[in-house]
Amino acid sequence: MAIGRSVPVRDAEARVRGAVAYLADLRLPGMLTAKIVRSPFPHARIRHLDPRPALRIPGVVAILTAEDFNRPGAPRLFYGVDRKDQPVVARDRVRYVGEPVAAIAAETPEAAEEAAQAIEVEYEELPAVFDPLTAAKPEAPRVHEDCPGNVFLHTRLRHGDLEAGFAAADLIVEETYTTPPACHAALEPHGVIAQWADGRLTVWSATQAPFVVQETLAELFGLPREAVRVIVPPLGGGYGGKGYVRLEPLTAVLAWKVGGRPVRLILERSEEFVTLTRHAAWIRIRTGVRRDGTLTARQVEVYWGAGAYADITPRLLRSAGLVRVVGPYRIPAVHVDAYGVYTNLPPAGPFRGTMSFEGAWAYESHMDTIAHALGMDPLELRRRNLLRPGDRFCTGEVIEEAFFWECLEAAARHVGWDQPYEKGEGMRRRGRGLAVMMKSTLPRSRSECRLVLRADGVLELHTGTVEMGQGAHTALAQIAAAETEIPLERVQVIGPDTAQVPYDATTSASRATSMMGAAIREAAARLKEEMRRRAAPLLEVDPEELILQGAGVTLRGRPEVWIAWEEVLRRHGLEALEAHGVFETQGGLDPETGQGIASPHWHQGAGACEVEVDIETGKVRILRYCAAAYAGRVINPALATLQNEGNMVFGLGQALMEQIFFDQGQPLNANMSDYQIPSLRDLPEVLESVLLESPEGSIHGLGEMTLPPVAPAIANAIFDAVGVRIRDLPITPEKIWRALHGE
Amino acid sequence: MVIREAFTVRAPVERVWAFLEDVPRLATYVPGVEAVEEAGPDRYRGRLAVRIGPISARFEGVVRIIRREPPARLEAEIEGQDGTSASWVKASFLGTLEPAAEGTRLACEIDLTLRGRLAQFGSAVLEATARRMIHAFAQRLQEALESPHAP
Repeated sequence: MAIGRSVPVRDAEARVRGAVAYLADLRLPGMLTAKIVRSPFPHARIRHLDPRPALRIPGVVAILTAEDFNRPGAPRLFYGVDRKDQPVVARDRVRYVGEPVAAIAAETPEAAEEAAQAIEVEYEELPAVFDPLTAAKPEAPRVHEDCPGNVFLHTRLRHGDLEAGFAAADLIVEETYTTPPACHAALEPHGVIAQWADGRLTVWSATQAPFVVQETLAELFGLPREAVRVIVPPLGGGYGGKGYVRLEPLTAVLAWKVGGRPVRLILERSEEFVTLTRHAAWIRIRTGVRRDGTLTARQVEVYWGAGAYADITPRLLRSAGLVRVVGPYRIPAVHVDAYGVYTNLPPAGPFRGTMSFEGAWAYESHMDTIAHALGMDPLELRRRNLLRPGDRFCTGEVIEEAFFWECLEAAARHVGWDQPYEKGEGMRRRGRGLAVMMKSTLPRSRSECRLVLRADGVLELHTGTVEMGQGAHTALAQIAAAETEIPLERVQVIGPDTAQVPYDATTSASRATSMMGAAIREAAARLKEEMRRRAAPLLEVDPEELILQGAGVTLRGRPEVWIAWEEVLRRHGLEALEAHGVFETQGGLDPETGQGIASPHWHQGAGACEVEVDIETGKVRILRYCAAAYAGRVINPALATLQNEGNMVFGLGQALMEQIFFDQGQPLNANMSDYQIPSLRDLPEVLESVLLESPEGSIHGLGEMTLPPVAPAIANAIFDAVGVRIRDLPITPEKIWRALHGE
Repeated sequence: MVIREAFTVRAPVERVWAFLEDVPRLATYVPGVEAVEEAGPDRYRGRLAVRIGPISARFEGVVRIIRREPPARLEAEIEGQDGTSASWVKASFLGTLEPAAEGTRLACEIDLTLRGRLAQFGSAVLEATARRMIHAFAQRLQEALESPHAP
């Protein structure tokens, strides 16, 4: 059986040996280098832009400015997956430090660099605003003229009688939590190659969403979709930073201006910090609770700092931005107000654990504050309130698969939660903490695939799922092998290439294994059906009498009558047999009340840890961490465990270190020496992973489940150790030290 | 980015103040200053050469003294631009003098915003450069005030 086996990642060896061709390794004849000229101001009027001095530099082939969009037959200037508010290059105004104002195509990187410096731009600085709370005030400077108060979207969730809920409470606790912008810091930076030929555009892009890129580019140029082809080489990490549309419009329009030669843009590390960030979030959470720990009401107000352009934020706000900030609890009355706010910072967008990370940071730290106020064990408080199978969530959905308690309990057990605990007395104090989280996936999306069985016995899986090191292609090949009973070694994964594979929404939101996996199951069923129909005349029986077994067809009750699939194809003179599979979900929330279907299933994860705090320096060391996730069914135990561990390490950086510091909009640590991410030395001494399965369970994604609990679990352990509650991420030694000294 | 530094010179407060008030002369003690000229009342135009990381820049700009409280407090605003490296600097300066056991304690607070290519090196490099310049200035100032030919 191909499912449940720890087969290695398909290209693991090639990746380790450096044999995988990433985007940066692709070389096309006549390829030009692109370079972006970026705004040094967070908000300014462009008074004058003169590319002519740069055009005189030898090797410079073309320079793209907003002027080019005025030409007849030119592409549209503005794009955006939800609202088209973002210009390919700035026209008369820049709205963040790093916004593209021009782009150069040149024969060499040196010529491109020289040209970038020769372009004359004159700016007139305008008042700017940086944090979402200030930006949302009516008198704040406007990031976009047509959006006074900078709030471009306000969404609501209304469930139950909030007033009655608070009136029924013995205690009301209110707190405010914040998270800063952070960088995805994927090993591979963003990169795109674009080339035009005969009015058709081909784009190679390190993207998580080839079909979204295709659609956006087709619209930008007024072309039918088929005229745009998007090919995705293996990615060196994405984490949401390569989701949706990033630099493809700029590169494609620059290539359009060039004519026929391919143009390649690869970002420098510093540019990664101004391309897409995690949202800056400000979350006020207020909860009513009875003395016995029963939650009676919860009110959450969230300001999502989206940066200068809306990007995917509006779509997130209609579902994720509401339901991911509540918590997996049975609460009779819940109100959520989520605001999407423009600021003069780089655009914010998907970030591993999007909005669940920020939500869990607030509601799980908050749960411990409540437990402390009640004098109750934090695990017990959660046990009394966690959603159980059949419970109704605040969206009105009945949660059938609910294993929150099982996840949390497993994690707690691994750190010996029920054992007596010595916190220490000297300079180093110890504490324990835990947290649980609930995350939606995309409410409405579609995945398609094609299975092609070739006469040589190879099964091709054509899929738009992007392999970015997470092992998705390996897991999907395992599902295809299991469903068709064809040996795993004979399964080949083809794609993503929009000209070759059928549609898939995106590789994000931990949806690939579950959604594409379901599409593969459907395609496999169709392939088998077709096989029975083809085999029946060969065996001179009715198709109804045939059953499928071991990549062959056999007569019911007569196992000695068996014919291999390859043989069926050969006898029909067929080169291949194809079957298409589709899996689609139809959810969505009412925009006024947040009621409806937020997610086809719910991601569930928990964490528990033991930390040591040095009270002299404020430094935190994680001694032990256990990450537990509900997997439904584990496809590949080794890869699933790696996801759990990867989440923990990723979360540790978010919890303790990662923040892009902006000074008046200028990033101050846009390099990997000033922007810290965890190293091996920061890892816990003991790192454990638990994967929960259920016999009736569906396949759940695992890419994010154990990430959101990390920060609150650590913060709760710090509180347990030294009695200090940190509410603003990241939890730096300085913040702990200041809190310990009453500052 | 805010940079705070303080140092002590062996001279009475009044003498240090008189020294600081003469901006064109004072400027000759600031490392990297290449030219200073008066451009109106409490307004000076100047040029400053500086090297940050691998990039050399020559900022042309204006210093405006916006408040003086002799002999204790001086506030100024600085704006400059370097065409070659496409960088802009904007800073507010607050200097305070107070009597100390051995002379005068000078404290300065500089709120600095750097934009453009030079800014990409990050605050760590920038801060180190600024502090190095302040230390060099402090040393030159001390030498000047303590020399027998001191003004």
